Amino acid sequence: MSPVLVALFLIQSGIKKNGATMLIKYSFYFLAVAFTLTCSPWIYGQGSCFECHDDPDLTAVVSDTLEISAYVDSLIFASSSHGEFECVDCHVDAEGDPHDEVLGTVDCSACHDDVMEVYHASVHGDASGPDAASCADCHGKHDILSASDAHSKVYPLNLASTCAICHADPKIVKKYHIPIHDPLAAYRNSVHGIALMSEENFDAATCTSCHGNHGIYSMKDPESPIYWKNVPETCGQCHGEIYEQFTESVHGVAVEEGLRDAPVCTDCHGEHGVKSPEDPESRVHPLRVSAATCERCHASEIITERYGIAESRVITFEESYHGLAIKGGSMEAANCASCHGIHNIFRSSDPRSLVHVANLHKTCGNCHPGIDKNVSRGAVHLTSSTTPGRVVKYVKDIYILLIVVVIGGMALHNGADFIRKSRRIVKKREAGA
Amino acid sequence: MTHLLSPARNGKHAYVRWTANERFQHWVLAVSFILLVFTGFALKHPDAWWVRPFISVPWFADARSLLHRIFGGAFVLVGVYHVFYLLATARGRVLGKAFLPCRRDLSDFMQNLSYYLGIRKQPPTFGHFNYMEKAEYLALIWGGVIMIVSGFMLWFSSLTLMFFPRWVIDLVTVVHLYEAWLASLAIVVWHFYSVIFDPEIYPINTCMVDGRISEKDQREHHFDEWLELQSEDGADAQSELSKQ
Repeated sequence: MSPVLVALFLIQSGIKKNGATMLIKYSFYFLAVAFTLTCSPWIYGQGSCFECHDDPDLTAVVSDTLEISAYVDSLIFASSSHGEFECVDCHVDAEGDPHDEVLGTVDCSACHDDVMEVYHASVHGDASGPDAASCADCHGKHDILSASDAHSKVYPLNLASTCAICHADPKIVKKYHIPIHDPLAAYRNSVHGIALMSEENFDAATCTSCHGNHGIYSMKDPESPIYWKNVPETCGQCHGEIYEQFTESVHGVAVEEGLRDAPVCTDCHGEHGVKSPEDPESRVHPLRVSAATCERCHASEIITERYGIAESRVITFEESYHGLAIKGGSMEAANCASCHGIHNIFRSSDPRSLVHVANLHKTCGNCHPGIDKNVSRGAVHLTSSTTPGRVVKYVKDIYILLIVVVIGGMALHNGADFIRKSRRIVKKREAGA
Repeated sequence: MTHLLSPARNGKHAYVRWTANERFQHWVLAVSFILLVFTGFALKHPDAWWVRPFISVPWFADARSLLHRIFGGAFVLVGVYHVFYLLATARGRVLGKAFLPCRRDLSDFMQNLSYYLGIRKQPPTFGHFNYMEKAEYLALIWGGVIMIVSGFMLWFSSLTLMFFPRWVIDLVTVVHLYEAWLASLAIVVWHFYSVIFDPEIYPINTCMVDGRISEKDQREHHFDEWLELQSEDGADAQSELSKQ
């Protein structure tokens, strides 16, 4: 019968909006109330729960110190996705009419046993504390709605805010040592958050897209989609082509081999706050990628030493024309990815690498059309461990010496000139006076 | 022999040391030099306080690189014109010769050092260009050639790579940078001293503005040349001297 009630409710509110006369409005109220009062025992079976529970003032005394509301809005319940069930379908412990005992927690597994099984293994279901999210915390109680309903707490546009009830609560975050403090704040300004929440692009990732829904696991759990090794596959659900490229790359292979030092998607892109590469705040923006991202490993003594990665790659780049132009804000100058690739990075000895000696000429040619093949002769990142590198260093040292001698000589010459001439002027002045 | 000095037309006791053409060359060179220094070092030192305010302008990077090439072009043009001027004009040929160092410059230098050290009581006297001016001019030519050649090699790197391996680009970058330091410091320490901070010149030598040098300055700073002019025009000199 609930659709009838909803219809009445909707007609009533619709008329109110249209500004119809008070008479019509109140007659609908009257009809609605009369209908509810006369028909409810018939609707809800013998001993309607709503005879008592539709009263906003109804409370239940749980203990000496705790008294809770026992009010259930019959209209809201009727429009919920469980509106056609009877109260006792969920509240199986309700005995007698009225019942004396305070009812226990509803066990959703009676119907949703498969979901509950997953939930109990999850970080929320496993948590013994009273703060851990229960079914009702995310889905609601008597107001429960389908996830596809725009008013549902787990509707894609509402989901992040629902998770944030706990995950942005400083007390809970601190109490349970949750490492990320306010993921929603970062997510809201991320490329996913903007796409979903501002542009209503439902393809965009929300919390559950990466973390799972009922089966959320700790990042330490190898089963978790956010366990470091699983991150590429998780992102690959949507970014499939990039995932294919990445798994073949030197980084992807290293991840597959279990080297935690190798970067997965989030190590370069960030996670909750992931930005579009075109966003100047993105760590992979052309102006930032070398200093904010590649440098973290490729300028790290520990990592370069551990894996025998060529050293001084970042510093030689930063000192080069490309590096300086990038620092000066040039969007045209080459950054790390311009030559080495993005997700398709390989060792320079790998023929698939964009900087392999056979491909370098073509890679440089992307910006320098018609560049000579000479470009692939010798090292690009010139360090003093190579002969040309030493030559360049010697020339630099000679120049510095030259500057010191020449400019120093000039300063001495002019210093002496200054002293001599000043004395002469002072003497002249004294003689004049 | 054509004289490098001519009596000023409308002023008494003054000579024209630099013609309008030469002054024009100087100022085109000076402006392009200063702007090259700014747009060049702005690339090398994007964090410097005098670059910071510009970095946030989105088109600064592109403008900087374009302007450096434009001013580089101006520098080259004035250089080419100067070579033409030295070779194709009568005055230019004399001027070019006057800039060449000779034995006299070495002895002037030694004498001046002795004077600075207190060994000699009097400084040496100079002709149209003293050894300091000659050194500066020749250093400018030397530095200018290096900057132009290395600058073009970097500008047209694809062309450079047709003849050299890639590391030569790095070598040329180092040369362009340190030659720039040498030139900039030389201008500040050497040139600015002789035209601004020299106690006998301070606050500024305006010769490159109006081209004129006073009789007094000519006699004090370029005595030999002054004397030469007097002996050639004895009568004038006698009357000048008797007036004083």
